[in-house]
Amino acid sequence: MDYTKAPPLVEGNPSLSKIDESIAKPMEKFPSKKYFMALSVTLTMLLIGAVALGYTFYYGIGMWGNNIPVGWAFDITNFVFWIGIGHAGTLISAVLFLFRQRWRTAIARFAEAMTIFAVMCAGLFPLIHLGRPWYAAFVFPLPTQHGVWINWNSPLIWDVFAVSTYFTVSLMFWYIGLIPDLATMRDRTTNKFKKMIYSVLSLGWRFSNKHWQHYEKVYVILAGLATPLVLSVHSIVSLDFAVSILPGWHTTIFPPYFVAGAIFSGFGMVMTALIIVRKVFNLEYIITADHLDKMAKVTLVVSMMVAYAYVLEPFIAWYSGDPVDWFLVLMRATGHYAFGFWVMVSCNVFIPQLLWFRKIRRNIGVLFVISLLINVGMWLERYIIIVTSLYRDFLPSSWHIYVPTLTDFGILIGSFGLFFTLVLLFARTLPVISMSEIKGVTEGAHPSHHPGAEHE
Amino acid sequence: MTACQEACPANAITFGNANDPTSEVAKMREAPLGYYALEQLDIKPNVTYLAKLRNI
Repeated sequence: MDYTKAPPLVEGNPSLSKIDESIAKPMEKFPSKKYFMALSVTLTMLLIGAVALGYTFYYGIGMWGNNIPVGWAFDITNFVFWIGIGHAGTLISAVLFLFRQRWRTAIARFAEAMTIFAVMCAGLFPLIHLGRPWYAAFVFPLPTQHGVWINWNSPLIWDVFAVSTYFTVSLMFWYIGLIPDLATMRDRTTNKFKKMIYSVLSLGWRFSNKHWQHYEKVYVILAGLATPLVLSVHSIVSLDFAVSILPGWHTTIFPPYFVAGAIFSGFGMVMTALIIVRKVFNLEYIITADHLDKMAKVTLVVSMMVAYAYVLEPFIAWYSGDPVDWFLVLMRATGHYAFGFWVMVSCNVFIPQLLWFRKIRRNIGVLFVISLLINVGMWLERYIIIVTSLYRDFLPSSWHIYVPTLTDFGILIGSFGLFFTLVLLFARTLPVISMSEIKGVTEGAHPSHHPGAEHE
Repeated sequence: MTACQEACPANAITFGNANDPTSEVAKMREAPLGYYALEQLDIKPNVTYLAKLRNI
């Protein structure tokens, strides 16, 4: 392994037209059988979700396993899970951009798209878990005849603002980044209908110098706007739990713990999706093993942060001397949901330790399995946090076990179906890699007098 | 005054404005016999129970 030169960000020194061609191929070629098979699977999952949702809307939340005291279960677990998935996209897109990590170029567009789809999936859950979802618009401070504002003291309302801001900024950032590529597609495509759509969406981009200057400025500003959202959005979401008084929820570690967990679960999902995409669309020379290696390293870092929180919470519960808190921590590890708890700890703490080893990080198959396990572990984490604190709260007279129903699982499956359907549609209509940015990081893109100074 | 408060022969329940210090409800909340469920959490629920005196 030659450590004197950084590995090329695009392997094989392709020509600019080859880059355009291979990235545009999924959009121009009629989709393969594999694509239709994948789409039929995801659409089936989406259909299952739609049916489950139909039952929920018609018969009410009683179709779920929610009870008193476990008023939140799969609904909020899924909400936090999907919002968390979105954070990796923004980190890769905005934060790594500001840190000038040029390796992010191959994965940024796809990761940002995943953020948008994940936030769309997440946003469904607060709407559907209302007993009267047709009143969903009232989460916003609309002027109404009854003259009562929304409850500004409630973190659920802070969520509304945090998540809608996050969605809006992510969408803008993603769209602005797409404009040069939409223009490329406009210029390449021969289909009249597609040409019209790409023309409208590319806003008259002419690749002129002035355009690029404006583009770069706006991109940096939007990256700067999106970066604090990575930290703030999941902190607000964690406050849904942290500002309550329930044992196991009422802890100040939640905001940083949740943010680290979100980045962790997000990277797990990004790795899962990217390993599939690079294989299916023959983009291995752009989304290289090196990119996956670096992502695995970031995953390892955040897994250590999550592991720290797993150690700290029980310690503080014990150290505080509060019998209720300590009892709850014990219940997590030994109560009815102990199996889920220990699967969660294995998937989030022990399994990612494999990523210390370069051999593992470079082995795509193993990396894929690890990323799947991370997704499982992080979903379980939210489930365990929510359900264990609710099913064993202060008074033993309130205790009641929670059992999920088929409708719960149906909606969970449906959310994955929605997410992956959107990803597949995205792959067919928009370039999954930023054509213009990738050209900027190929070898020879920034010629200089100093050898080896082309990229850091 | 609610219907159940008016109807009750034992004066078992009292409604009122807890923020008004002169109301009966506020006085009962302050009284030594008044307690809340999960009082140690200091969340001051709306319902104040009065402890039963058994030695008079």
